[in-house]
Amino acid sequence: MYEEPYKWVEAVGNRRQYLDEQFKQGSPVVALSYDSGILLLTVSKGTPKLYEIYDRLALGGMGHPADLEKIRFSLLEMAHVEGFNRSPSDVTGGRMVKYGIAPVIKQAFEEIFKAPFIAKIVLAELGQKAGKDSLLVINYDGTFEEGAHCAVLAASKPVERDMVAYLKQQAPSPPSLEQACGIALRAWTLGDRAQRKAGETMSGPSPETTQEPAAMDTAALYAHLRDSVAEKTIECALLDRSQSGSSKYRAVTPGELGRLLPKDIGIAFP
Amino acid sequence: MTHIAMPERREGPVDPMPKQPGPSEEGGGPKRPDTGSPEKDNLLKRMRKVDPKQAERYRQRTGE
Repeated sequence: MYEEPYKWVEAVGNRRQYLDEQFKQGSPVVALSYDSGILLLTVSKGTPKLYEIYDRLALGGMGHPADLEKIRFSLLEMAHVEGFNRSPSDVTGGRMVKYGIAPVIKQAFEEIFKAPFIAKIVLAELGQKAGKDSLLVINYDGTFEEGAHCAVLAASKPVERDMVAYLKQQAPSPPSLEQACGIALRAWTLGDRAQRKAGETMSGPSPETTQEPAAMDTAALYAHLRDSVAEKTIECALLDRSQSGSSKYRAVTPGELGRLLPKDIGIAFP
Repeated sequence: MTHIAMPERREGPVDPMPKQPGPSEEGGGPKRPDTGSPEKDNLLKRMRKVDPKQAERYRQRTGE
């Protein structure tokens, strides 16, 4: 059936189409460096999407919860075995991605008789100093990109491009934690709105189109956010350089998030 | 007729007291290989460097 090369290429193409379809309902994830660490933010519906992997590593993901769990567990195992066999300083995001999880995801994607991972992930690694942070994004086909200041996960590449453009335009370098929280949440809203629009028109935004000026309107973004987060949770986690001890990860509580986010957002936090 | 002149054979000096072959030079049979196994002291020293809280953190991170 797939013994002929062109049929295999066609099958991989179909698989890509199927996976793109699966992510349309997903919630975007934003990772942004701030003055003393890295902030990860998303809006989740029950299942958490942000996790601690190791002392200086955090994971954010979008996709099928079972696949995300599988990837998370693989990364956890890999990081702890590596940390024990070598040293905690040898557990780096680059090693985890390049020699660990990316080849596994790629193989699963190309083996057309097996199920692929319906997941996109971002692995944030806190550097020893500000400006040395690393953000690695892995797509469902195993391709990965490394960034420094910000990274996003969204349903499609055009939406991701718009979100990154917004983050770069809005975020001073480096932003404070309060600024980073507000910017990351607005970028998430921008991405979610673009995804929903693309879903409504049944054709994604063309690669050339960028967000119109109205998209940058904060009040419009907050209005969309208030509609979107009803019965959902704003999930936020930090890799905080100023935190004492070797483990730098901490989840931001709803109360703290309420204090960090802009007051005009209009969402009540418990 | 061709004459081939062979060089005269000379005897070298002979050691009057030959050395006994050592255990490694003796062709007795296979020897135990030198595996270079880690010393126990070093292993214990390495184990002491492992953060004792790491196991607890692993359980916490995996959600156990």
